[in-house]
Amino acid sequence: MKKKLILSLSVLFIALFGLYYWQAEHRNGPPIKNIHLVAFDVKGISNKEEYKALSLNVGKINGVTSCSINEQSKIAAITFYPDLLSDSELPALISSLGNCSVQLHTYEKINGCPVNVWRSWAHQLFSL
Amino acid sequence: MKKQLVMLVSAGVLGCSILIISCKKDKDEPETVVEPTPVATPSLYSRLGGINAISAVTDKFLSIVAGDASINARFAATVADPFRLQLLRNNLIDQICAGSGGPCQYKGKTMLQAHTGMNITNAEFTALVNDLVAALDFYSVPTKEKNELLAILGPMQSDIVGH
Repeated sequence: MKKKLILSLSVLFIALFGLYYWQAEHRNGPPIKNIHLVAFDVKGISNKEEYKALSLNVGKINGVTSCSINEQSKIAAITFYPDLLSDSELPALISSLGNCSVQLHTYEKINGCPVNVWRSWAHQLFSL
Repeated sequence: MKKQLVMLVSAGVLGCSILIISCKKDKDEPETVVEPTPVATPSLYSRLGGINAISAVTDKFLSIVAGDASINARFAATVADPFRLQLLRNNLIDQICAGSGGPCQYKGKTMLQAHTGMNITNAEFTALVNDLVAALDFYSVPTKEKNELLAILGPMQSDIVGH
C-alpha cells in the first residue's frame, strides 16, 4: 500500500514537473521550423567574386535557409532544414557549385556559451 | 382666410430666418480644426516582414557569425549541438519578434544571466553587431527599420559585455 502511494506520488510529481517545464519552455509565437548549421573549410577559391557567387548559389539549394562564406577565415557556414537536406549531401553540392574542395570545419572551443547545456538536454528529452 | 395666409407666410419667413441665422457661421467663433484621423503606424515586426523574414535574417546572422573567426569560437558548443543551436535560434527570433512588437514571448534568460562568466569584450560585441548589420543588409532591410531594431538591441550591451 505504502509502495503504491510512493509510486503514485512520484508519477504525479514527474507529470507536474513535466507540465511546468513544458509551459515554461514552450514557445509562444508563430511556429518556426527547426534548422541545422554546418560549417566547412573551403579550399581552391581565392577570388572575392567567386566566394560571393558560391554563397548565393548554395543559398538557392532547396532546403538551405542561408549560406555565408567568410573570405578571411574561408569558412562556409550553412543553415538548412534537416528534413529537406542532410549534412552529408552538402560537401558534394558545394564542391560542384564552386569547383572547390570542402572539409568539415572544427571550431576551437572557448569556455562559455549563451545557451545552457542542461536546458538543451531537457529540450532534447522533451522533444523525443 | 387672408389673416390665416398672412400668419402662415409670416411663420414661414420667421422659420427661414431662424434657419439661415442658425446656419450662418459666426465670424467671431474660432474655426473648428478637424484633426486628421491618425493612421496607425504598423509595428516594426510587420514592417520587417513578420516571423518568416525575422527567421531568414536570424539564419543569415547565424551563418555569418559561424564564419566570423573573431567570435565564432564563442559559439562552438552551440554549433556542435543541434538542440543548443535550436534554442539559440528560437531565443534570437523570439527576442527580435517580441522587441519589435510581434506576437512572441521571449522566454530565455536575461542578457546578464546568459552572458555572465563569458567575459565578452567590446570588440566581440561590436563584431556581433556588425554581423547582424551584414545580415540585415543582405535582405535589404531599410535604414529606418534597421536603426529601430539596433536601437532595441543596443541597450543590451551593458548586460552582455564584461561579465
